[in-house]
Amino acid sequence: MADDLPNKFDVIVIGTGMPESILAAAFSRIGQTVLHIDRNDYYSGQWASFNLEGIEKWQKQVNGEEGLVHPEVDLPSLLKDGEKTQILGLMDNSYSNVKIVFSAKNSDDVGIHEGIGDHEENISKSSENKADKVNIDKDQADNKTKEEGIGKEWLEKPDRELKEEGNKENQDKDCDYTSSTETGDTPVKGESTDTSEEQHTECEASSASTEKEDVEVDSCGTETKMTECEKWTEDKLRREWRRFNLDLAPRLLYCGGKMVELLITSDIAKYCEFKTVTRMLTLLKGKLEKVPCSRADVFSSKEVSMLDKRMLMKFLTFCAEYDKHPEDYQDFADKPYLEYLEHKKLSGNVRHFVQHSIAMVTDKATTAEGLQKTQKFLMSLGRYGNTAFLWPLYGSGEMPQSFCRMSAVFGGTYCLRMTASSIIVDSDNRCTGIINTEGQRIDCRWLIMEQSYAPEGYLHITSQRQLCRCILVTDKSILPTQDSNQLSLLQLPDPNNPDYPTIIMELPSTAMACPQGLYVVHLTKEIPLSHSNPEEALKYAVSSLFAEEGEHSSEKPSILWSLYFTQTFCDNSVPSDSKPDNVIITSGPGVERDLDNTVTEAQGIFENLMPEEEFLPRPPNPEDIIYIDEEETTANQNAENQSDFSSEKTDQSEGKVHRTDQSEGKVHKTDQSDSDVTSEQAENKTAHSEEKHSDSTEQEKSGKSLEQCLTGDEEKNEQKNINIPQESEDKHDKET
Amino acid sequence: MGSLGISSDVKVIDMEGTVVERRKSNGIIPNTAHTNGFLNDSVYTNGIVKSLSTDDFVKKAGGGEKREHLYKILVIGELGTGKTSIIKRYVHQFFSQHYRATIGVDFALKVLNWDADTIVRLQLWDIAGQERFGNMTRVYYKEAVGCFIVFDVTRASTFDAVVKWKSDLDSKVQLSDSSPVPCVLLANKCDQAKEGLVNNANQMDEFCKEKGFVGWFETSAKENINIDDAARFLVNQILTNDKNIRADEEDRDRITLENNRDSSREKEKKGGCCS
Repeated sequence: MADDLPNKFDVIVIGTGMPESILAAAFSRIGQTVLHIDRNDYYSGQWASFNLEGIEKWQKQVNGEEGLVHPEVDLPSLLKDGEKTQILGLMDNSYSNVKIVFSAKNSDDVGIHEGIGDHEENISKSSENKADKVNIDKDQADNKTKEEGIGKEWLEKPDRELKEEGNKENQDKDCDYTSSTETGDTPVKGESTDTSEEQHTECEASSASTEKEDVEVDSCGTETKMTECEKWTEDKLRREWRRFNLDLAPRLLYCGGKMVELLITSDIAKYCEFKTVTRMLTLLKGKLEKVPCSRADVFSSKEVSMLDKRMLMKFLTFCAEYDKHPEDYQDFADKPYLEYLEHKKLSGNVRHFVQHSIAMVTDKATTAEGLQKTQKFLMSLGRYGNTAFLWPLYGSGEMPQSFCRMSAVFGGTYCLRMTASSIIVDSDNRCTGIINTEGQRIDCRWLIMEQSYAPEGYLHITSQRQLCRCILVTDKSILPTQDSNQLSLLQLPDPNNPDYPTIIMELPSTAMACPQGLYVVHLTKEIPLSHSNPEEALKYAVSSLFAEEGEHSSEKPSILWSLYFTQTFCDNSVPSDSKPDNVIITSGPGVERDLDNTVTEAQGIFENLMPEEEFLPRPPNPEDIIYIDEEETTANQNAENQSDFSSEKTDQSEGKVHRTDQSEGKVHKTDQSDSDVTSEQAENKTAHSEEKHSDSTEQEKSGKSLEQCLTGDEEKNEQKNINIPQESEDKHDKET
Repeated sequence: MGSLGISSDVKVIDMEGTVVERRKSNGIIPNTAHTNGFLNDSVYTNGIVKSLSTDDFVKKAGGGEKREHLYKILVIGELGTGKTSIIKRYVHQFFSQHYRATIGVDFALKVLNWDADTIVRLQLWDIAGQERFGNMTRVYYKEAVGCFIVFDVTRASTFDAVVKWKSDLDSKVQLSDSSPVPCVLLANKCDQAKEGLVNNANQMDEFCKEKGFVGWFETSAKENINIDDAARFLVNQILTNDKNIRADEEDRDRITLENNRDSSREKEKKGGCCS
């Protein structure tokens, strides 16, 4: 099928992970021919999102089944004088200890945890768990003592009702099906300003669910919508396999970060949709609480005393512009952030909030790092509402794919389940091409490959680190509220191991992560290389937040499905002398929880290779492209006669838009400007928006006022956001 | 939860931070400002939702109200079967012998005045020429509500690949009620000598039934045969589906990083009344 693959490209990119995909898009965008391949039959490599079936296949792949094999080739016939080959490994060896468990049993073995023969995995798991099983009360008591250990001050505060309302309501309702936390609650709650319409829908929903309960009793659920009061079985989860999007490397986007900026400026934003992280949580005294992040939150928070509120406000105000007052923190720059927070006289609670929820740093973090991260968080607040983070719908595995789509739209060639079997190097140690896994020689000028593809000799790995990951599917939220669509983020320090906190992300079904009524929880924790048991490493976090298997807790969510694995990654490496200069190696997902470093990496590589070119400029609007029947032009015929390879290059210098000549017949720019709106109708608007743009950049440079950062006030921030000229609606109008 | 989502602090927000509203189930967007108790600044404008698929919204045009639908339709199939030619013929009314990969554009837009009260905008998504080995990104498939799978009647091998394309489609996208995306099979280049199954209409009907195609058409982009009819047939299917699954689409609070000046102007106008 791939036999009509051309033999020559400007750039071959191996691996469809985040940095590779950004680079593929960037090169295609400026008219370079790009071949983008991946050893897997799915996109995004180590950044992929899978449905339930896909992730089981992935497990098999990791275990070495169904891998690619080296082709049999007649090497001498493919090589030119002086060329030799460097054979590549075809497997990704980053993952180990992969274990998938369906804790949700099928209806006939519910309640009979042992003894049913056809679920061997489950049985071993459940008996394993029996041994560690902790009574829930005792478990909580444990947590309390542990928490006392780290922060005595937290205990000074009287135990309040906190955010239990959700739980209480459920208990009050005394529903037989105890997991009915999500809907059904009467919407008339004190502070809610629900419209009558909404109440109406909610009532409908709850009445619908009561009806369905009845149905459920005899039919055991073939309906997909009835989720609240229903038992989830393995079969039922499997039936809904397509609705899961489970991420190997879940990543958030800082609203004010580089990735968001790049998505906007490159117009790749049109391929993605997001949901906001609606709450930052923290575990205090064994109870989850919502962390006040914005000014509005701080003022309305019941967990923070008046004095603390003032201190926190003052501190955050300072952090938003900390770089303007170096004298305030210079003495502490290299000391731990925690020390600095103490120095600032913040109380224990507030310190905990700032460290774990706002800066999200470990105890080891320096003040400089802590302040920088605190500021980044604050600067991201308010742009898209009262949140600092966005979550890509359908999983963060969508992000590389969005860039791949952009590359393909600009002529990039995509071929999955194909990689380089070997790299061809000439006598000057320059890479001249690859031999792919189908035995075809393909020449290139640059070869970009993700680290796990690179031959060992090309990198001196100076330090390696290890992550353990866990993905859970659960039946309710870790902190249920009236709104079942909360997307929560939480950094949980492990009292036994304070250097390695666990990052926990809970995704509701509206994040397109799972079927309605379920939640997907991602746990990520760095562990020393010597450790190899991810379940052990995450046990504290999992047992603090979730019900043990077999136990039906009315408070804690039950785990229906789980995946554990460990992943090693290279933290630091130096390219070795044997690496050809035109081979570039990109890194896989590391410990970051956002994508901004990846953008920096990709942009750095691109600018290094293509110093004259713009990095992912905005593409032309479709209405700038004028279609002329190709038969009327001779220019095209010429272009046709040239090989792909050389014609691209001639086009390059003329700029990006002319690249389209090659495809749709003639493309004429009606304006010299590169990619902005060019049609006359749109000109006024462009001017208008550019004006705004400059305004806003100034504003940006001078730093957002704290007011903006902390209030989550879109009204003000909006100005900053109205700046990129693009009229999706105008487009439609014109077409009419 | 209804899409007004007032009790949550999540809203549909476009790139400019403007809060827009997704269609209510009755298709009418209230053009009034609501106050969000939490943020105190949210305006649900008569905004345009960027997101594709079954959005329809009411536009005030000279007093009269028209229902508008924006549908994403995929055009897939093997290399050289005439996908781009079909789109060109349908949208731009011309045909060219020269096959070219599609570069720089995601989709072509066709606007249909469906009936007196309905405008249908079709986004026809070409496969970006070179994603040609059948490895489409999910981004491409996402939120499609209809699909054409094209094969070339002169090359039986392109027909053989039809099933592969159909299963790739079904595995990567489905309608919100979990039913498959309606898909029409196009036997293109029917002005030329045919090869294989397509010569037997009964067997083709059978094939379509078996493989889950809602129908098939013999088309020719060159001679302009049946293309409008095929599109009309598919849009009919989509409109029918749309009525059935409408209620499901609602409660997604989404953010697109898209900016949309119209809605922002709207927002500016409204700004005063709720800040």
